Amino acid sequence: MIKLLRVDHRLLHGQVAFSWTNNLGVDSILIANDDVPVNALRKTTIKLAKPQGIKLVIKNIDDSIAALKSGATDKYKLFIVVESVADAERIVSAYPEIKQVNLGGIKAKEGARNISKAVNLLPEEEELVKKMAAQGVEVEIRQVPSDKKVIAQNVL
Amino acid sequence: MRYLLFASHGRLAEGMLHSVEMITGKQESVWTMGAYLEEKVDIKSQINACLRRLMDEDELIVVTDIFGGSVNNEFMNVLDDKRIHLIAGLNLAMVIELVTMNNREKDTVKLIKSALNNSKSSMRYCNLDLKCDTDDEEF
Repeated sequence: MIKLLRVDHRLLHGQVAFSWTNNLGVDSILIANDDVPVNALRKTTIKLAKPQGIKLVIKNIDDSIAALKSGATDKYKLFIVVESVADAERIVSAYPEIKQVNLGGIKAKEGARNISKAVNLLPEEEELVKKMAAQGVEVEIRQVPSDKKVIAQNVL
Repeated sequence: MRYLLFASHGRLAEGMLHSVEMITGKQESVWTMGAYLEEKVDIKSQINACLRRLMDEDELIVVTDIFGGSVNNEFMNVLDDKRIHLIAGLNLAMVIELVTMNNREKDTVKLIKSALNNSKSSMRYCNLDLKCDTDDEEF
């Protein structure tokens, strides 16, 4: 069961590891990213941030989609973390069972627009958000679980 | 209601709450107490002011900055009040666990023991951690 898919450019760090896993009551985290599996330092750092008693799986996007589709993840209360809107959209399009995407942190970059505290989107990312919303996915902005949910479409 | 109180020499306690809230969001049930910030205010009266805010059925988990320090020592004197649980060794990993599990774990003793155990293993010499890579996990 997928509890939530979160977009956070820092992937797994204090905020995600503690606040979200405790709040969502998950038993497993999937880091879906094409760089981390082949970047030893990044991989080790993410492993060190793993909360006690939680399973942590790191896979590239294609392998993540394959794992989700295979049913191997069904028995877990799963929290998926990706680093970009594009990665989120790839997974959601390939695996429509995901009905909620949380935008947690997307850093400011050239040409991006600040739509909320800590969330900055490029025009093409805004289009991807609209596309996911049109597919019936709730795309919401919250840094931490206790923040009020802001529906992304309403601030585009 | 179960409340948390961070207590320290100086401003560590309020700084700790600032950092906690950055990570977990606003906390309504956490109080702070900074000792020796003003010469005329003594710790005993600060502690009493905190205790007066508690109802009979409330609980208060006090986390002080250092075991054996005067702030912790003063709180030792009020432990005959069964509403109070006292922990020494304020650190971010431990209080984040206390704060995020506060509403989920009904048993206060279990909550405290688990927060202590988990946070102890978060104090690390990271150079060594980088050398011993753990195995990858699979679904």
